[in-house]
Amino acid sequence: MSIITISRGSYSRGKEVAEKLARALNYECISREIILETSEQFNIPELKLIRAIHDAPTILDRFTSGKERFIAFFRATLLTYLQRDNIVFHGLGSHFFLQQFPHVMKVRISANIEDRVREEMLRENIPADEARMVLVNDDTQRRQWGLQIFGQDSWNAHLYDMILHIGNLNVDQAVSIILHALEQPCFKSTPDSRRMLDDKALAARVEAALVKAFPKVIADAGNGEVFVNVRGSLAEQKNITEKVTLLAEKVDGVKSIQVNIVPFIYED
Amino acid sequence: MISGHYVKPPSTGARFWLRRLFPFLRWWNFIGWDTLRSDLLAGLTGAVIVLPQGVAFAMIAGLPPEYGLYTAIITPVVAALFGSSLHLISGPTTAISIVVFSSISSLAQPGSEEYIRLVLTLTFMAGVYQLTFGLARLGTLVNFVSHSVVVGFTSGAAILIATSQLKHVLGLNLPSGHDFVVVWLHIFGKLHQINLYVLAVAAVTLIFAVFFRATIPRWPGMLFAMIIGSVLCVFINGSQHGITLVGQMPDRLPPLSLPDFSFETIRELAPKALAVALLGLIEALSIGRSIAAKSHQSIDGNQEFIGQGLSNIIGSFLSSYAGSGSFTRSGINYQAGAITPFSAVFSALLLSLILLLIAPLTAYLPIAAMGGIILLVAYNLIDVHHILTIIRTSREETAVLMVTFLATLFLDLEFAIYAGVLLSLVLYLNRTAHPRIANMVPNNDAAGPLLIETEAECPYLKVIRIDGPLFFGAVNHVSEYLHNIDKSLMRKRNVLILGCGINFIDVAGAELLAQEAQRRRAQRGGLYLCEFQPEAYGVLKRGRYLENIGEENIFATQKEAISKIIPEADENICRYCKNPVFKECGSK
Repeated sequence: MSIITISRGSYSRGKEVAEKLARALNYECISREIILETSEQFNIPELKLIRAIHDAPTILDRFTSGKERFIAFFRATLLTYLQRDNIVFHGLGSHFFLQQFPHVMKVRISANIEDRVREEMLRENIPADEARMVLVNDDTQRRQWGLQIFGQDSWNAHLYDMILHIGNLNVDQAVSIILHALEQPCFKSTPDSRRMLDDKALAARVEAALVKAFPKVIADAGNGEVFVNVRGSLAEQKNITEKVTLLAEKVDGVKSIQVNIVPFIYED
Repeated sequence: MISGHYVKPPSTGARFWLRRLFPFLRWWNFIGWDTLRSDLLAGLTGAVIVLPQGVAFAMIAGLPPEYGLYTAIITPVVAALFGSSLHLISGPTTAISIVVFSSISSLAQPGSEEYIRLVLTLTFMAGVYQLTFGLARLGTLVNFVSHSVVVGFTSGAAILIATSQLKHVLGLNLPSGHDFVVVWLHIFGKLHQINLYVLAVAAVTLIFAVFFRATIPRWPGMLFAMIIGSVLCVFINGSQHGITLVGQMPDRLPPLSLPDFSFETIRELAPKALAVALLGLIEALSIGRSIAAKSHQSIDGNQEFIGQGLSNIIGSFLSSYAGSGSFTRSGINYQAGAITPFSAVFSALLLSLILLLIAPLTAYLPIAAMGGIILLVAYNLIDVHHILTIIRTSREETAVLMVTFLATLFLDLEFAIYAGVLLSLVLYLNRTAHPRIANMVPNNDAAGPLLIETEAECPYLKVIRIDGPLFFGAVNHVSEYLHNIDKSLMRKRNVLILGCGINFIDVAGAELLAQEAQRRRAQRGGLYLCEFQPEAYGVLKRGRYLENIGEENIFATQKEAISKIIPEADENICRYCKNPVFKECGSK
């Protein structure tokens, strides 16, 4: 009973590792499925969602909050999906979304750039220089996305429980190492970790329900009691509270709602 | 971009100083489309409200009407971006306009080019004063304006604002510039002259404003209500029935201007500019604080001084005269749902647009409709909840509130603040000059504290705890109490003071203890001290007062003190004691 996330750059063979690992464990292997489910559930174009999860936000995004909205939807779908347990999830900033869950094993798979270039050339039928440029741009976008959305560099080793470099090590050996590490009790789901995931999933669903009206919403949940922080004017407290309650109470699992209005934040 | 799921580390170095220099960077990351939408709606309402006000205030200041609008465009933007309050709207105000007129009208013909140049110079100099006060960090003085003062001032100002609008709402011709009582006497005397058409327009606007606020609070209900009031005015052919209209505005943006920097002018205007600067700061800070009491924001007085100063300095080069915080417009801005100072920026931009594009339409806006809206704003400024809380909580605070409230109504606005602050300080000083002195005896309950407050006491040793600073102001009260101990029981010559509640001792306080120790020794008694805080003990030590008190009479704990003093108690006193309170009494 575990959840494993595998983060990787394009053509780093992380997908292969994830699929083999899932087969070995008889777990479900997911990646793009979350995109599809989010797209269907929240009725948003798949392409826009992929861009929100992949590309760094622009200045305009800050004012439109479009990316934040899509990310909230994605997070809600992902956490709700992970409540099933026994899942290998790869790509799509998985380590960022699951950073706060200690029992989730976070693995980073890296590979030599030349190997990746070769793979890219083969798949896309493009020359080496172009392939290299595509990969470098892609890596840069991913890093900028992490920095701007979560304030973290995806190349920061502290984000991961394990980093495996595919070079001398092949895919099967990488899977074997991960399987061995998974035996450790800290990576097993427990009643406490499941409750934590349930609470965070509920909070994420409430955020997704509110994010359109309140872009900077932050929700927290515990046993069905939901605490919502939204920014707004205290002069509008009553109306904001009513609106939040109206939207949030429709979310499955919500028993009670507490609304806190954040009228300002100063940065020193 | 700020995500809700991580916290940015605090800035250091260049970014910190950049945010100090440009304070709007501190809330820049809080902006999003939702805050911009709220600010835009609030700004739209503010722009419409300031339109007739700007004209009226410029006329009060003896300036051509467009100068009021220029001030309403430039001043609020600079003050909002460089000030501290998130909701304060600066610009032309009644009080400043009156002071500007009284300062310059004796030097030049109102409305003349010379007059305008002098007003702009006065504005520049007032700004320099304010900026200097801010940079010198004198803004902390605002901390002496207590919450009760602000609530009292706000309530009084709300009634003054409402009173000032009654002539527009009732359609009465009242003499301007009279005080509160005179205005009301005139109103009562002219009730039979009420213009029902004017009253109808004002009432309909007010009713719709209340209705929109209750039903569609996120929309600019006040603006809609004013449009409805204007349509009604056209429908009933208001101008034929004595309804005054705002009139068409000049369609021009603020032109560049240059104050007069000649030595003669500066010397002549220096004292007048100081008065304008001080009044402006008091107004802006009081209003900023009263709005902050609702929005829970903390106001940085120094930053607000800097913001007000810069707005007047920059304004003087863009044809704007001295401005300050406006109670009405700040109240409307907050109630209309403004979140960041961008509402002031939007208000200025929209006012510019209104000036350029739809100036002719303003000709149809009745002043009665404006009056109706301002009545609602005034009503909302009265914070009934806080007033009741203050009345329930403290008689002293209630007195401060009432004095400020009544002074606002019956005296000058700035004096009302002085009166409230002065009374707050007097009450505070009186409180600190009378520290609480508690009579203590040992606690029989082993689980509780060693000593508890009670009426019972030992005939040999009086144990007291002083709660508050022992400084020159409190010396008289404490000395009187120590003397009264002997008065009530002649044989009690020993006193133990628990010093845990004394957070500060000055030279006068230390001398009191030394003298009291000597006096008690002369009576064959003693003064004992225990549990003194290190700072207070340090003063006694450094001043060599311990030599007079006697180092052997100082104890670290109550337990140590009592176990040393009681065994040495006078046998004769203990023999006839009917109330042995110490456990050491049994062994005697």
